[in-house]
Amino acid sequence: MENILVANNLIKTFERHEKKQKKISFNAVDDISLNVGAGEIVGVLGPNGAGKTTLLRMLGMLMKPTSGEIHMSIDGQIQSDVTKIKANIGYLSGNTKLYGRLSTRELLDILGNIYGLTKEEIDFRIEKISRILNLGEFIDNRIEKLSTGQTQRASISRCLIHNPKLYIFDEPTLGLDIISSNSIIEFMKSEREQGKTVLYSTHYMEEAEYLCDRIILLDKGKIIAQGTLAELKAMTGEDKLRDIFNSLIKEVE
Amino acid sequence: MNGKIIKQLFKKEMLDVLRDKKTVLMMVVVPLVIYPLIMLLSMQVMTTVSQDMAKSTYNICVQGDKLEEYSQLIKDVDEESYSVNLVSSSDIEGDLLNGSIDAYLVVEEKDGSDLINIHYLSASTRSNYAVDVVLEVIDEYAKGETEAALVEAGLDPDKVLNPVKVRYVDKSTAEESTGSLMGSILPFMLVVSILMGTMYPAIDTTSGEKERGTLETVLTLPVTSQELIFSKFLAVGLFGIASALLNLISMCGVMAYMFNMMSSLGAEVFGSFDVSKFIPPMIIGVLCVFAFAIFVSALSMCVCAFAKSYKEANNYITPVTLVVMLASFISFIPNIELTRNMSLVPVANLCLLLRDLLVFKFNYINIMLVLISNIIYGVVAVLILGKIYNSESIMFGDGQAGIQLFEKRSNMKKGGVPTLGDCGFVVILMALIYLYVGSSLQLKYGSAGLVASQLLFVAFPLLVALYSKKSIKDTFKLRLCKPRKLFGGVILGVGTIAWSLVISGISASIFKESAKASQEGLEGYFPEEFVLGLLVMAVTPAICEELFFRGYVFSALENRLKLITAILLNAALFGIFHMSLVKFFTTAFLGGVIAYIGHKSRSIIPGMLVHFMNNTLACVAMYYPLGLVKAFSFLEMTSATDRMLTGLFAVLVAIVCPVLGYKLLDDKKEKISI
Repeated sequence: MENILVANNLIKTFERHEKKQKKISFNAVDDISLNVGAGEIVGVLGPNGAGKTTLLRMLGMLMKPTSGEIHMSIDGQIQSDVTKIKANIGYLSGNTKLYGRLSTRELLDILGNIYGLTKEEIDFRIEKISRILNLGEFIDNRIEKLSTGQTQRASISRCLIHNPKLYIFDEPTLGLDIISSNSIIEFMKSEREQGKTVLYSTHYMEEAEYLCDRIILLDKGKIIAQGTLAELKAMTGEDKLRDIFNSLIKEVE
Repeated sequence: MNGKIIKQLFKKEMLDVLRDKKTVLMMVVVPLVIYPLIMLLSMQVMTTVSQDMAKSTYNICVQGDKLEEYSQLIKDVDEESYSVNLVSSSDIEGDLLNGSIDAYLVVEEKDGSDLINIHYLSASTRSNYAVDVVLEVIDEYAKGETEAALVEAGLDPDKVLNPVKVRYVDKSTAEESTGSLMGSILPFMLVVSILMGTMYPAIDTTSGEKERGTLETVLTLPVTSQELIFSKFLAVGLFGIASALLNLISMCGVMAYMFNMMSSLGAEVFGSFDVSKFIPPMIIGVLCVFAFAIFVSALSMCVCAFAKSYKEANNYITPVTLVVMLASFISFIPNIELTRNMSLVPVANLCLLLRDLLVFKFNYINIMLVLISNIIYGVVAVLILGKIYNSESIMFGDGQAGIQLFEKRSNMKKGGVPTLGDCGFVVILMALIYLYVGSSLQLKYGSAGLVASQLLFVAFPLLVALYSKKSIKDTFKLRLCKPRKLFGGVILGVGTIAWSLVISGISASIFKESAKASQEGLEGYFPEEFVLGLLVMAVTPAICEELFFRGYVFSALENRLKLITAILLNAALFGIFHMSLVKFFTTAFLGGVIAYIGHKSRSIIPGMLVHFMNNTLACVAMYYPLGLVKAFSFLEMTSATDRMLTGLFAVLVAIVCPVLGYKLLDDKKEKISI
């Protein structure tokens, strides 16, 4: 399997001021290397503060790593240019909200233009996305007027407009009701069938078990284990992902 | 940068901002409605007040000698705008206090002349007017009496009373008089409302975006941070310019209306009003206004970019607004002219330029300086904005370095030292206070004013520190220190003073003009007695300036910055506050070393002592120019031994003192005990 995204020795250091002149620096992501194969769903799991969001932000090119490098394979070529990589990623997180005062159509139109699509391409994509996500009834309403579920669909449509090769979703199901989160899970599965790649983080173990081809377990900024579910089971002798995780954390300590 | 991307981002910002009712209201309705309204209202109030005064009848009581004569005089007053009602009273004091009479006269006849005691209430406007009326009558009466006496003596009263006559001929045109009136108000109003107009778009596109969570969305796009900032800046700048235009149009309309109305009422000052003459200077002014609008846009975006939410952004922008308003107040001060230096002062330069333009006074070099400096400030602000948008700790962090001062007081943490933001705000405001209040105190009350203006350096930061619940002890370094450190500080200080004399000599020879001006500026402020002079020149500054610069300011700086940066900044500020090119290097050098002493000893006291010593030396030199030479008479080189001694003394003061002081202060064992 060809690797679409490769990261080597990523480190992200944050500095925090505490009281008098003392700067405390810590590594939110501490020497992580990983690769994501084309067409697979990779889950990044870990407790709060494990460094999931920071890792995904770096992979999505929102943040620069303190050290380390990231490459993406685009049409058989290895790229490390930030804007070129961004143009091929659909990034979604709890923090990527939409412009409430615009309508979904206006937003998609502007984004399409920014991604460098032609007018015809944009119209075609909007048409198609609207069909897939069933945006028809509210596509011209201001986003601030939409319901939570509709907003979620509009959010996904934002990631689709440029037809990216890789989706990076940071806890996309966090805080959503069962119907909304199901629609996202189903969306990820259907995209995999289309040959797309998904890298996503969650702390719902069952969800990961159901969805992921491969799992990366993160704790305190380091990878404590990675592999398919079967590999992880064999490694620890546990059956449930929850227990696998617990036993791995104990090992580290 | 990609033009297409910028266009799209710009479109998004414009749609986003324009669909926010609050912003549009603030930008359009305020200048078009509120400002004219305020102006018309104030005009209405003015006319009502003057009409009210016109109909006034003042109750006045007369007592004492020549009762009949004076009563008759007062009673006869019946002018178009006022009249007098002669009353009698049994409790004259009480009636004056309760307002049933406005003033009373007690006449005493002495040696052929009359002494008239006018009793009135200085706190009451009516009473003051009544006094004016009385004075006018009495003046007229006295003049008549004098003339009669002169005629009786066979003299020509006009020649005796008015041997020299003065006549004023006002050569300024009606446009100029109008302009000078507009010149004071217009710049102030304009600056403030441009700020108001850009403020909301600035907040909306920066911290508003953070609050709504769309910032991260933008960051996922294949867009460089330059493109992002540029499009945002373009949007806010456009709002700034639009708001400036709206304001200008609205202002001019109101002004034209006002003056038309006034001249139709027959107010002579305004005479015939030719609007067309205002056009050429206006066009030049408008360009500067636009440049300023762009600068303000970038500035408010910079400030707001640090905030995480609307509320926080409002907290940050309030001090900026205050400072800008205070600085634009400069157009009301008649003595301050637009000089070359003034052309470089942000905000103030535009206000002064507009004021000049409105009286058709303009100098192309100054105009270009104002234009260029505003453009440069704008560019610098945009560059800083770029840095901010590249800084992940600001974009993703929780914004801590800001100004706490405008948060709710209950949210403020107790103790500690001021934040950098607070410190910056206090320094700027202090500079303005010192400029406006301090200088007028000094002009009015001489050396007492000098002391008072120095006290401002303590009062203002102290109030701020108390309000923001800071630890007074930590903020102002109000601690005793070990005798060794005190001695070390003083010794280092002695060396520093010696070196500062050298620096002062060098800079005096380089900046001859400035040296002369600063020498002249000092004259007249100092009391004649040496002890008082010492108090004004040495004791007060040593206490007040130290508490401000090495207390409030340096505590904030050293808490957050590297030591060397903190010291350099403190030194530069101390130098700038002395407002003289020739003094800058000397004071900055001294300030820097004292800051270091304060840092090492953790106490304000050694610094105060050094400051006191330095100023005392200057004081002695001023009062006893020859005294110093006598005191150090051995410095006069007569013999070989004397020369040896002098050399030794110089080495001792200039090299041994600083080194010894440094060693004493720098104690490795005691490092970091906080």
